[in-house]
Amino acid sequence: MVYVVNWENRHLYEHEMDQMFQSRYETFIAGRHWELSSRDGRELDEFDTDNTIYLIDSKDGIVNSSARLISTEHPTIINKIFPHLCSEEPPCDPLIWESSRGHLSSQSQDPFAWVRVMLAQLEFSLLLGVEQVVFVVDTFLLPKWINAGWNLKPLGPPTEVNGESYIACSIKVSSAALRLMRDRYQLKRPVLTYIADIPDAA
Amino acid sequence: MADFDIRVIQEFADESLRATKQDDIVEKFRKESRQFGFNYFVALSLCDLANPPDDVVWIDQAPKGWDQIYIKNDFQSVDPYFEAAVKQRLPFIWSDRLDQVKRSKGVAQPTHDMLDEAATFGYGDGISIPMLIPGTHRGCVSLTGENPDLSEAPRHTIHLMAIYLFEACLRINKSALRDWKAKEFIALTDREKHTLQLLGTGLNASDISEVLKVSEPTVRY
Repeated sequence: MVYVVNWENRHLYEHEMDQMFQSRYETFIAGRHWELSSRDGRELDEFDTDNTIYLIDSKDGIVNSSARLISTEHPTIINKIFPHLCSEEPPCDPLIWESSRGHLSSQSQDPFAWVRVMLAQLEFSLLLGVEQVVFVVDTFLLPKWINAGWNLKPLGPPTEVNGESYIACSIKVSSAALRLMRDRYQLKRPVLTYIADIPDAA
Repeated sequence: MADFDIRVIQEFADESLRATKQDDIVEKFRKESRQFGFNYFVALSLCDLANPPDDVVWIDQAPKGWDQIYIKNDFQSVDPYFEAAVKQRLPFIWSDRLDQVKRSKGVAQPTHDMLDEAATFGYGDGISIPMLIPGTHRGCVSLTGENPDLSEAPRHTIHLMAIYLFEACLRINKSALRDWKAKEFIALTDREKHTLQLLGTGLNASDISEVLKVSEPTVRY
């Protein structure tokens, strides 16, 4: 299952959150050599705030995959670090959210975990009435995302950063998009789980 | 000099995502790329071009006859752009790639011969755009012309359109291949279908001959 973790319930997922930050370090800093801030082998940045929603695919306490979502009315990677990836004004709208740090944990034995996290992003966006999800993607892998059923539109030109090419994209959130992805991966049931913090009975 | 216009690309993306006929989206790409002086292009899965499997992308808008000469002379094995497309992640301009080859190991005579032959077909400088879709062959879209505009805006425009073109062709091809295979299956006799279904269960020809009460050579046939 993919768990929704926000500021209200994150104390229920401290173990998973810690694993996720370690996995982000291994993937993006150790693996891809991105120059990001880190602390004790964990990758966290200024966009990991109380406004951030984490989608964490986890089974038996092991995190397989995760992504984070931030409303673009708050600071995001696209509107603060890479506004030049957008040909027009970068999005700043409560109905447009940014997805970032999406990855499959190197320890994961379940390649479908990342598919579930992708589906979870659509399910979550539909539940919240989000109309678009934007993100920055490696241009070399763009065909993979299009082929996966994401109705991707580029927001600007590809740009080279440290010998790799990146592009800002958006997907339109719709029940049709969710259906298409579920069909493509033969995953018919919702993957999202939200466990609210239930105060102990006095 | 052309400007980068994201709306033109978004429109192309829309059309390619909706496309159900390969010819339509290829024609649209041909028109767009010609504006920048790219008179020819190919969109290929990077496989053995002399013996391509049936699930690959193979769009050939190169000058007539070039494909036969390319395969007959095994130019694939000496083509520096094909080699780079297999290894690289970023799009590259052919003249830049050739300069790299000159600096690193020099250009071998067979490669010179291939480039001379290509020039007689109207090939000038060009651009190749490698791309990856897991589960399929790596792909590449290459464009050339006698004097193409290789400035940044056309390169970015073509880069993004090529990605949508390739993905659409791959998707449409797969769908057509599925339909064709389904029709081939329907065209089989009931006995032939039954044989195939038994093969699918893991039985060998000898087992199937027992089940169907026919000889083993008949099963194999």
